[in-house]
Amino acid sequence: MAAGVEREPSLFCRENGVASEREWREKARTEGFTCTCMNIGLATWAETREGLEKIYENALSRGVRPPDRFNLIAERRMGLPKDQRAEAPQETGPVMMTSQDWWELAHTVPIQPEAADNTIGGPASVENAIDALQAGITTIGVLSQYSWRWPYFDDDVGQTVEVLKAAGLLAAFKDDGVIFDSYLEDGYPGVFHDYANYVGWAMVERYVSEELIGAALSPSWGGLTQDPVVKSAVTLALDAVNPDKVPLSYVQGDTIGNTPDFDANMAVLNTDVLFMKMVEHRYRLGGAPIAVPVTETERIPSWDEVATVQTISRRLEDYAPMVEPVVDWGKIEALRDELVQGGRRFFEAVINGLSGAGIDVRDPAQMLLVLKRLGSARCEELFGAGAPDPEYLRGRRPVLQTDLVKSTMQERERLLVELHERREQEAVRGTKVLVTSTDVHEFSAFLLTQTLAAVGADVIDFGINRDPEDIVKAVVETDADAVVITTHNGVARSFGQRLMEELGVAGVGGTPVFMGGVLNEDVEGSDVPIDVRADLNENGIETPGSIDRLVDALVDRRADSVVA
Amino acid sequence: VGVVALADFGSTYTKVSLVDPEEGRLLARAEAPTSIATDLMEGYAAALRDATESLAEPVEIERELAVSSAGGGLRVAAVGLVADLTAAAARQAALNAGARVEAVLAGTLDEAQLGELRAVRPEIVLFAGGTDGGQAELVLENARRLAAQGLGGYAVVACNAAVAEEAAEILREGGAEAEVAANVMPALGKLEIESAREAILRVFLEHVIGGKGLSASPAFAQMVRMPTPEAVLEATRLLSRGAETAPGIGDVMVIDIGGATTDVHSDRLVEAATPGIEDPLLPPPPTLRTVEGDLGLRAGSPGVLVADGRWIEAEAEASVDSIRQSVSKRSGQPQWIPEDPAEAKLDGLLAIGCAAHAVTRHCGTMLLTRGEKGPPTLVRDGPDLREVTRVLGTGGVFAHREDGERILREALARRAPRSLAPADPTLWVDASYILAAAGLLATHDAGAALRLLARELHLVKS
Repeated sequence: MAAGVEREPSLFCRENGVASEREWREKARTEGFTCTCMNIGLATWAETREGLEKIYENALSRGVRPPDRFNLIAERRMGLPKDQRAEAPQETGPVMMTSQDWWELAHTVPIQPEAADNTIGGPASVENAIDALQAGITTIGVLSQYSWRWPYFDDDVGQTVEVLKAAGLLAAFKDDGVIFDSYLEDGYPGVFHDYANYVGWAMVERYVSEELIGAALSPSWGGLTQDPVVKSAVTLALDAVNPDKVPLSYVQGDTIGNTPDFDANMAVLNTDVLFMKMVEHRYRLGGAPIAVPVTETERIPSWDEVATVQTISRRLEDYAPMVEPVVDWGKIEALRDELVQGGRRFFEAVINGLSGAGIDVRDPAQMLLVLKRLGSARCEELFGAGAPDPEYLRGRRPVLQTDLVKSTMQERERLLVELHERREQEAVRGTKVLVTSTDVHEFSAFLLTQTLAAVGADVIDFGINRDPEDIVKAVVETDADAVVITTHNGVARSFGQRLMEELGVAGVGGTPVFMGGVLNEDVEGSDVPIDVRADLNENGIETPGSIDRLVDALVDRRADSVVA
Repeated sequence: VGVVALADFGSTYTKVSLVDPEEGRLLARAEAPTSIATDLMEGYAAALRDATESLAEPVEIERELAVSSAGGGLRVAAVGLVADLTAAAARQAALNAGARVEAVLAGTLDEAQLGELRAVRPEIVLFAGGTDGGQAELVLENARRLAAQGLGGYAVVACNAAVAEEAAEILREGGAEAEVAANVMPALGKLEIESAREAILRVFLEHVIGGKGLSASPAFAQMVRMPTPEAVLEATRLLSRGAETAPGIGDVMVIDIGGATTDVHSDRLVEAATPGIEDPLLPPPPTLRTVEGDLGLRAGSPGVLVADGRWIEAEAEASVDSIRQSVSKRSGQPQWIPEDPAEAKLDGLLAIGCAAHAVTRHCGTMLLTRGEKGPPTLVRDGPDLREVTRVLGTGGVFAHREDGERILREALARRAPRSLAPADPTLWVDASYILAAAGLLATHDAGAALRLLARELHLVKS
């Protein structure tokens, strides 16, 4: 297959006199300059191309070095074979429809593209890999996306085989500097609870890609981590388990510290990028930090919003060398070492666990497929680096909690301390409270079950992603004294309404219902979802607004029933 | 040689197998008409005599064991609160006890449901409802409504443990003999049917089988160990899990095509994890029996035409009228045997129809659902048996025909889209009709039963 691939250099490689982006990154490492990367994926390829031109010109006009690389954030149809792309439901984002599109991708401006989202991972992995290679792209992703599903493609075996063939193609060009990229958070690590397992997972992917298939692998990561110290340590740990020193393709900027307040997000941006630059300056990983536009949590950033943060990113390269010498890197390195040890434990547990179960761990297809089918939670429960501890969601005490888990656990501690101070440990003893979620968000449901249990409630944990009909069935069988629902998917009003109706029909209409989370819903005639708390209250659903006030409301309910 | 006699009291025939437990060898088989009008032991004696006389040397019968579906089998009604929670759990407990589930009632029992119950006259009511410490009021209300019927008979109470004794007492006051078992669904989504299953079997052996008036001889009730379908489920479990003496063969599905029903039994040792596919509210148990009362080769054959008529008509290359005639001939005569190639072919097609539909109903289906918001989700509505590696056919059709494997192959090839039926299993057939006998023998000597299965199903070279 590789023999039929006719490659030509990209505009960037030609202008910079390198054969591949890898060579450029290695040069950056030797010479000590820093690279930057950006994500771009406007509504169509035409708009994206125009955006690239404008960003490039904008940088030149401001006197900063243009970005070294952009990641093409193509929409999901790119994962489908070309002949199906036009007919598949359209989402927002560019799609490469023709070979002209592919050529333009690498020849519009001298910024090196990565063929990123939806290139490799889905059913069209092989043809996308060929197109990307022929266009002159030398970093191609995204291995971790093999865990994704494409609409109406539930043949996970066929999909895995496609990914492996595409990886084999990249392996054929390894000596030419072609790199297989994997953004960890697009795969199971994105929902892991322990950073040590991130590192271990990266080792598993590297083992499959480099040792079993022969393709150089770069683990990218970073979007779901806010703490700059932790982020530095994890980045260094990922480099430490990278024996061939493949340059880290990119480090994604923080996306969880941001809020709808764009000005406040400037602080997130500056701190995040400064630390990433310091790590690059000190350790020369050959990576490229991505500065995240401050608007990204609210909308797909426009080209000028990308250009703005690229300018900030370049300016911070001047500050990194000033601050870097006074940072206590010893602490960060100690954390790195702990993560590496934990990562090795995870990796060994995976290999031993799978081979013990009769899996051929020298067969990349078996490895990938089995891990995919085990699922993220199960992988962490089975192979996690942390010591077993039932206090934690995944049954193990993390070596280093992910930021998402950390903030959840901190909130849990705060609530427990507060409830303790208010002497409310026994406040609702014996009250049967059914807790569930309308969507896949597990952390809010976790906080609810933990804190309600701490105030003595008999918690009925009904899991996540439930329909009103399911909740009614559960209430009938358990005779729950109260139903507590967390929701984050913009369906609060219709969900609440249907729930109350169905409870009435089933003859358990008197059950108190509480809802929290994001209590809004899309309505016709409004661009943004509207607040529906008043509608919920009118329907008889209480909206206490916080877990503390939920506990108060449950205590009040109990007092009422005692009086009655 | 010490020999075990394994009897199967069916509604039409009483079958006897003589087995050498040491060798796991089937020595002889014989059958005689079930002597339902006089004494069941008469038919047994005739079959046993034929079997022993067919042997070259006299043998000593060291033990006599039996399964029975004579006199209507074991008829159970399942009662619960929510149809797909405690009522479904109760139903599954009864099925896994080898019962014929005559009615499944859910919710607060109304007059129509109680009328249905009176009409089916179950021998045992399996009474469920509520999680442990959960719903009490509606459960007790159902007990009172049942008691008011004065049904008599037997009840197994497997409801909310907090009120189980109280519910049993109410049922006793209504004239039933009630015993308490563990809750079939002690917590939401948690299916625990073993205790109820054992209680049903105990009541069957201690009271029901002796009370049917099938034999004047006390030996009959002493021989019977379980209802016939339970023996097939036991054998299924033995095949997959093995015994202390030898390992099993792993996940297995057994398709039992009978004259009146088609049963499917499956046993999974490990639940395949299917990330991204959500479980049903009440995940199915690892050992699962389903019964399709509308799919069979004789009394059940009109149901096959309803379910699968177009396919059968297309494949049979015969007129619709002649197929209807052939089927109605079958439905009235359980013992009828096809006389010509066209009828034999139709039997084969009916068997494929029975197996295809019974397997589809036994296994889950993957459904793509899209909520008002959020990504589409895949939900499964039953067990995921795609990776079951062995599928075994049992029943007369597999014992008497040469093309049993083809029947299974064609049936499985017709798996419905998105079905979670076995995707690529090894197929084999119970040509010596040994499965139920092996399940029965397992109650006495699991190692011997496993040896018998291994030899007769050619799991190992004999």
